[in-house]
Amino acid sequence: MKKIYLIIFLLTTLGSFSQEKFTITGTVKDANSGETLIGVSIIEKNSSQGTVTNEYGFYSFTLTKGVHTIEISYMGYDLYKTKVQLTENKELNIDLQESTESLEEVVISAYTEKISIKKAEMSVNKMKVQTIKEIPAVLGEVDVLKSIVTLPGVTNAGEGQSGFNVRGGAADQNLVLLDEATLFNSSHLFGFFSVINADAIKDLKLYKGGIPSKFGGRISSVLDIHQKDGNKYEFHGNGGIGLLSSRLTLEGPIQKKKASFFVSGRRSYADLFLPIVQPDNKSKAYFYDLNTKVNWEVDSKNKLYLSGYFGRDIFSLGTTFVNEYGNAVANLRWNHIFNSQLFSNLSLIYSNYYYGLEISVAGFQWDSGLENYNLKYDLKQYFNDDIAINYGVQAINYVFNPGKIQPSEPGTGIETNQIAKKYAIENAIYVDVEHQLNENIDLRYGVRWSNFLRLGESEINVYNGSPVLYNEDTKLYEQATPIGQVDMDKSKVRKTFNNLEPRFSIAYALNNKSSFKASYQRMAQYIHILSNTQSPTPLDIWTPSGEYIKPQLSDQIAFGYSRDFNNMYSLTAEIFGKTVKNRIDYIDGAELVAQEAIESVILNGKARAYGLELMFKKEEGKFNGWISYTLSRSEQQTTGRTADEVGINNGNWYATGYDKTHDLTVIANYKASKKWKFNSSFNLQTGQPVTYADGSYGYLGLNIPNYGPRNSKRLPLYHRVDVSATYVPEKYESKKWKGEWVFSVYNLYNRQNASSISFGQDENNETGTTRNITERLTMFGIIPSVTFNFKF
Amino acid sequence: MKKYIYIIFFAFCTISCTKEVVLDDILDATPRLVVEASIDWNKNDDEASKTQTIKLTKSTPYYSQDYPIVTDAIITVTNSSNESMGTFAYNTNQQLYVATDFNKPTVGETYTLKIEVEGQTYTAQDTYTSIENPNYIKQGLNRDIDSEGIIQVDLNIDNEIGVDNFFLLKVEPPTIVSVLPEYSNADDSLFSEVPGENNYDFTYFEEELEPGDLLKISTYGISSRYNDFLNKILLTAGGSNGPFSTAPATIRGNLLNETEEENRAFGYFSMNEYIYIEYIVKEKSDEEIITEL
Repeated sequence: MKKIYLIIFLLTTLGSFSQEKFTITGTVKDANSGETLIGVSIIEKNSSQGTVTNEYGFYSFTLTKGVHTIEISYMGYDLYKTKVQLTENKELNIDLQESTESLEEVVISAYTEKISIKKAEMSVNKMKVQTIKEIPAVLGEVDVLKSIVTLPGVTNAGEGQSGFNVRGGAADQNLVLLDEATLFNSSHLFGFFSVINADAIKDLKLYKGGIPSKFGGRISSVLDIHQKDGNKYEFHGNGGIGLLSSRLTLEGPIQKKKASFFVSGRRSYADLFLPIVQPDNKSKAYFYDLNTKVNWEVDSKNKLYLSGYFGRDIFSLGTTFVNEYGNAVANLRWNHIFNSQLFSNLSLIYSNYYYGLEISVAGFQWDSGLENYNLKYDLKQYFNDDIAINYGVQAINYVFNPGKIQPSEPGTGIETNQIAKKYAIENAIYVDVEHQLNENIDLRYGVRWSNFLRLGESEINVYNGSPVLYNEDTKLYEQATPIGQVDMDKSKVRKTFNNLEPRFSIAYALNNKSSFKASYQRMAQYIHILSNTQSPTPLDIWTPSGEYIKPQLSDQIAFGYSRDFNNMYSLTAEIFGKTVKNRIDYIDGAELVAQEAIESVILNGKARAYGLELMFKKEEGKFNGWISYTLSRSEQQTTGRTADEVGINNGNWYATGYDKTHDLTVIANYKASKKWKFNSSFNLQTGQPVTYADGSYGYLGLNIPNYGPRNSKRLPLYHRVDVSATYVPEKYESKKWKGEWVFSVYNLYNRQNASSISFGQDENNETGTTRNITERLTMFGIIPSVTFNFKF
Repeated sequence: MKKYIYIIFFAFCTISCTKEVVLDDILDATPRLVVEASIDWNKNDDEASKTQTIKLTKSTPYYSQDYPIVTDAIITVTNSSNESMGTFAYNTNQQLYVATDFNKPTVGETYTLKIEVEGQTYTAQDTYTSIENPNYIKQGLNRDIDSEGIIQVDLNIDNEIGVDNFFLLKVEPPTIVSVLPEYSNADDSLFSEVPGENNYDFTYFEEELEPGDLLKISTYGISSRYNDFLNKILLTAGGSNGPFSTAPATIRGNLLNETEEENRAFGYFSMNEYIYIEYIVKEKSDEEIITEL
């Protein structure tokens, strides 16, 4: 109820302004493609007041009556200046020309930086697709998720592991949005490559803190990725032929200036060569994905977007083992501009994650997944030149399939068993105010009320007390045996959670070049990945909160300092601290797959993280790049529920698998000539926390290593240099098409970085003896590669 | 199932490589008592089953593996009425504690082990669990993993109707094929209890296996708790401490130290009925060869 008062209060107090002011509105687009541009600065020259375009390229700017000089600037585009005579509300759509590539040091307009320096928005990193493509990658495969790991505060557990970790948070705590639709698994090939095809995207924004109340449902970060709309004027295509995969993108107008389409596909093809080498080999291993989008500008007030994503990974060893998984997403959006000050977007999203496995030697087939429908309505009201209010509602309907096991063929003795599907609804309403208090102080405050309804399902286990038993004698946690099962209709609510999530950020600008910022956020997460492995796998199952799994709640505070030097360099320094309540942990030896009583292997713990992040950046010019450094700590603790219980790891805090004390990245790009471009990256980080054996004993003729305290040791220091060179031959440069060769070397000095150290056995078949050994696994040594990219 | 993922993952990953390293920052924990007390009763040989053995050793630093034998313990196994099941005495030749007069245990009854050594008393309990005789062995060729074909041996066994018995399968090939025995365990609840459909194949395949090789196959009926313990033991012994393995931890068995609680012993006391079969590998053939048991 309090929140409703707050909204009413805000609406009434803010609505009462009335001076001789008018509003300019419009959309900023790329002049050649008609692609809308996100985050473009629109500045009034005299007052230095400014705004930026939203995720649909829309802006609304309120100014006093009279003549104004407006400057529109966007990195990589020519500065656009115009004079406007304001006597009424005005529509001003702008087409920006891409800068012609110049070898001179580009004198850039500093407005972009100035605006972000003064804005309360903090702990946010933006990346344009061009920047992402310049970072050298494994096998030349441009990777969106690998590129964000170069940012301060972002890391991943180890090379070739799924997902990413933001500010000491787990991989399932990131909200990954592709055109506003949630992706539930972000990796191909068990984590080697991300599911997001860089050719299909326009830009991305990563929120690590100060997350606006518009976003919710995950507690660590929001990765907001926008797909391209498609060229509105001409038909174009581009693609690439690489060692691992090939890509093709086609885009063009359906109705000139009004409607366009975009389709981009990618497929890996190592498997296509396999039959040539080994004709009898029936194994398959490949992935593919397809991004599509259609947009239609109905009129100046209405736009429709239909976007889709479909991706699959397929592995098989004949019929012995077949594995298939992937995301499917469809999203229909309607942009409607009510008036010059009220912008709205309605989204209807369907998303499906599927995981299937068939192991014929074990005689079974396994299917699991998650399906959801999401309805969102977001509005942005530009009240006046100082205040804009974002508000909206959201509802998500989830169906979780924890797994169905069935015989792979008749007569295998496997019993068909559908583990009861789980149902839930997540609702939220939010209000988020962007408020420029005065010349120096900018505020962003808001609140999100989230509500989670866990619905009824069949075969709910009933326990006499807790589902996790503690055996006082052996000091072991054990699964309790349910005393019965009840069925509950899925229209009934089994458990309700409500959380109020306040968000607040403030920027205090010392001048046009430097500012101090601070933020606080509370976030709630109602669905969780169940995973007790070192790193997430596609098999990990999402599960909703309920009687036994409580929602994760995080509180984060951050302080920052931003500074711009000579309009050329920028420095951002931030410190953060966060705590997480109800972080799930697992009893030792917990079996999560095909687990019908997940509640009986779970304990609720907590987590905390704190750190310092530095980023020094030079964005334009012949020589550019950035240095990012993070000093941080990420820990987890699960104490016993009573004083007698031991908890996990004896109830002591332990480092999470993605805790990296030091993490340094240096990205350097050099444009030597029209023909040659060089890029390099260097990464140095503390080794991943691991658990080492501290003894060995014999049992049943096997040698059993005994492990010490959890994650108390570290893998050796990790470091690596990658380089790439791009060559654009002149002969390819015709009016019709352009081509370029990208030569890259991953891990230039062939550092044998440890991905893991395993404690195993060396068997000597001659003498019939065994020996305990430790083995280091190196995922990637030196990998040279070449990719050919073309566009027409 | 994670185990399978792990195998596949590395089968496809040709870029990665492993190298033996010696860790210099590894810790050496204090040695603990290790108890290998599996009372295995052969379903088809009551006479031979009267001889039961228990092995006591100590744990060592990780790289050592020269497990010292513990010789001066007093061991008793009693039934639920506190009656002794047999007399265990240390046998110097075998380096084991041996009882030659062990009584036949009763299915479903809980038994207690007591060990007194070095001033400490350890106890443990387990329930005697039964197993059915296997039906047949089926030999075939698996061409999925290697196009040449790998010999695959399936042991077909019935899941006992109305009984919660878990399974442990042990296959000992000649040492030239594999030095360590191959173990697999299984959860009773996965299998059908519908008469006629309640049989299941345990699959064993091994690249090095040749026709004429002798396979010693033992199938055990085990308790649910012992199955939990074996899950952890077999995963840990598999050495899979990779990105997809579960967080490794010290494995607590069912042995309690009555004298000094924190000074726990490793290992387990289990009471299992088992079946022993010897199988000689037949010639490679795409035709399935069935040997009735």
